[in-house]
Amino acid sequence: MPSALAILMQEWEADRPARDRPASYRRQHPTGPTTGIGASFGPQRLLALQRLAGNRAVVSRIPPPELALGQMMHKSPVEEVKSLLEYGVVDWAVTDDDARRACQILADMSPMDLAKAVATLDSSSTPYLERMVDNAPYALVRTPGFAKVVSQRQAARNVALAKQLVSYKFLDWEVTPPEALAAQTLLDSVPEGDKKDALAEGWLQKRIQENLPQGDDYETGIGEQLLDGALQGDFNEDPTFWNVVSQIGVGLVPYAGQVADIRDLLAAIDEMFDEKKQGYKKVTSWINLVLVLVGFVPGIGDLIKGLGKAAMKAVKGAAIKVGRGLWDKAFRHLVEPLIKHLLPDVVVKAKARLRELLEARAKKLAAEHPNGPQGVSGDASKVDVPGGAVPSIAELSKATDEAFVEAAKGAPRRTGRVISELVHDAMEALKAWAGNVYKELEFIRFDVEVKGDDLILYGISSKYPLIRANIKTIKRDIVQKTDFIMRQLKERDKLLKAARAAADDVAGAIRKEAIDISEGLGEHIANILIKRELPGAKLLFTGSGSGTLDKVFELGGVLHVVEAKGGAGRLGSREIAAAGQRAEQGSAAYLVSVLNNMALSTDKAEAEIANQLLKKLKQPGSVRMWVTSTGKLNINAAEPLTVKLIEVAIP
Amino acid sequence: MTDAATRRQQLNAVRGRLSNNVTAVAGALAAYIEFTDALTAAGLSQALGEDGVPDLLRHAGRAGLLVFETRGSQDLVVTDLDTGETIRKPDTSAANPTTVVQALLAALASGDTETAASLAEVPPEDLQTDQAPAPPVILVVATALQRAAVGDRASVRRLTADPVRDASIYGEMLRQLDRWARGDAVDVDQLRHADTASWLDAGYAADDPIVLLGLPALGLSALSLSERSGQQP
Repeated sequence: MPSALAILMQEWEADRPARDRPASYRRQHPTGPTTGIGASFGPQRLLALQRLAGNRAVVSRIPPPELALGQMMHKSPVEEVKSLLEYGVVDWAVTDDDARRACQILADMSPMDLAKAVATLDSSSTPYLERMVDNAPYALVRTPGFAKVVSQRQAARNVALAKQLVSYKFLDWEVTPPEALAAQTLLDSVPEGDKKDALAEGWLQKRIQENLPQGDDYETGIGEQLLDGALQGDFNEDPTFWNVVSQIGVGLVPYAGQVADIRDLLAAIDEMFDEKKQGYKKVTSWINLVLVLVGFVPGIGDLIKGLGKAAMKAVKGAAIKVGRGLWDKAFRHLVEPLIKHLLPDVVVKAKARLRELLEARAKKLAAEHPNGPQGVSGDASKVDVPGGAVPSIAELSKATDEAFVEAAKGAPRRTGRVISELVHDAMEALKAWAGNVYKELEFIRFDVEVKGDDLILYGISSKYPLIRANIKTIKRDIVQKTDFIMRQLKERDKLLKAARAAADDVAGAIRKEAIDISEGLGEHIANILIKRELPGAKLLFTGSGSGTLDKVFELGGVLHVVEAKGGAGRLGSREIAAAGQRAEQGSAAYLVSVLNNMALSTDKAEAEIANQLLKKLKQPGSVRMWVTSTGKLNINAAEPLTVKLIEVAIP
Repeated sequence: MTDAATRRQQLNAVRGRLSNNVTAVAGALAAYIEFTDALTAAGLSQALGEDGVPDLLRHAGRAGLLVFETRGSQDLVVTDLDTGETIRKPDTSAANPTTVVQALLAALASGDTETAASLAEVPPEDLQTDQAPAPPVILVVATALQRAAVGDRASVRRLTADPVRDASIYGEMLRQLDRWARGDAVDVDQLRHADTASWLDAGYAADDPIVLLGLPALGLSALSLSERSGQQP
């Protein structure tokens, strides 16, 4: 059933001719289309306006209009962007929100439209996109939309803007993290040749690097996770993706890899034969052991092992379905007898031998390199490091960490290719392992397929599915079923909320003080301007708080209403009646609403001046309105404040 | 709470500004001040238990009609004195959906069927202004009231056919208009309750004259009564 508003629109459209010339409703001053959107209101435009205003009630209740939004707007998207980034008579600053909205409009365009829009904006004498970048908050700078927009600009412009962003200026010796990140994003969009020229001087990259956002601004603790993965190896029972990446990295480093392999083998054996863990009963533990052994093969072995572990982590999430009865049968007849009767002694001896080996290597290394790093063990004869210096595991891990961070930053495409190769290798390794196992179980052949989100391992010639693992379910289960992770996540969430609340409280109090200062400055500037413009004017009223006028002066029988704005001056709006009816500041409805509010005040002076104004407003020319502003306040800018004086002619 | 003496002072001040002849008021701004003053005076008079509320509501209805008749007659001119840059556009802010709703309710409540019928003919493009944006539900109510004012039950039923989830006074007015269109009695208590809640939500004081007036209840109960007595609303 169509909504009420839809019916309303249809009806007005249907019998419009009959209503166009009403008998008793007499418009004295018909108005045609005027400036600004929505000056002429057809039904579709009304709808578009409500959509533009973000009115969710309309969006959810009214079917989408047949006309494209752009057709209904007086302003094209490019004009909208210009208006957001322009300094106007009543709009003296580009705010964070303006920059965000402008960027959003541009980012939503098709590539062709975006290229045209960017060319249009950059060919203007007004530096629109420079303003957008200059006022972009951190949350915007890090979005793909921002990168998409700036990537359409000429390389020379982006290089120049990047330099400008991180250059020191008079009284401005600070490069903020958003500025550094914006500069980096601009440079990232520049072709290699141009970038090389830009970076030739060295200072630019150095200053960007020094000022890039740190700590919590990054994805949480990737570096820490990498280091953790490198050091803990398989002893980490809940490895994250980055732990695994780091482990692969360590495995690729000669010597460190050998140590790491032994360390992982010990962990795998512990998992498999520990009395409590009883890993030997689980198919996943066997896969893990095989992968650890594969890891002894230098290079690619580590890659396969790492990826296999990531898969095992998923499998442990219990989203794996093994062909019914198959594993039980194999376990009962093949694995359990081996474990019970043969392996324990061997395993215990192997573990002991491995530990001895590890300790012996450590002692030997310490003897050969008395000034070298502490706590390192392994076969020193296999060290292949230029200069013979043996780096500590921590150093190696750090180097790996940095290498991966660098790789992730600089070459996302290359990383993607490497990962796809690793996945391919891992699949091959899995197939090889499965082949051996199934051969033992007398299956004729096996196959592995990825279908949508499922990874399926088939056996027997009839393609009987043996294992089906849903990747999404695995990911979800890993998080939900791991108490430790859940507890940590909840604790983290709680702490972050508490931190946010505390930060909001403190920031709110500080911000209020800053606003008070801005408003005080606004009033001070207003007094100066009105004295200049209206010499001899008598101050009748000074308001405080919202819902009142700032100042009222009298000169020659005329009342002068002054709206004093401090800080980024932008005319706002206020609710003038119940249920969301608003009016824009500067309009008649806004002024009358403020005056009606003041007229009912218990403050006699306030009520009196409001009554006086309401009376005078009925006589044209007896009230004038002024808006004064300090402009955007910035102590580091060449002009810390920009004084403006606007006269709003009252109808 | 405001005491009676203060209310009396407020009423005197507002009454002192009201014109004896609405049609003599010149310009949209003066018409809008006349309109809001008349509503404020009606609210204050009602709070003080004075006579004359219907007359003030009739005055408000006519001033409201004048707001739409003079819509766009005066320009909003903004001049930057430093650069000389000027923006000029008609000030249409007073002619917003809330104004037509309140004017219609005032006209209906005062039994001014002629003004109500004239207000019913204000076309939708004149109800909208970018200088005073309003949620669409107010426009739906405005239109339903326009139809109700000329006794067009069928249109009102179509407009109120959807279950209305809006919790404001406008949602309640649509529900009550639906009742009226079906021939049922209007629930005045519900209207009063929703009206007060909506004004309080908007930050108005409980003893604000517009809250005390309870205009939706007055207007829709008058509509309901006139229908039941067989009169054209």
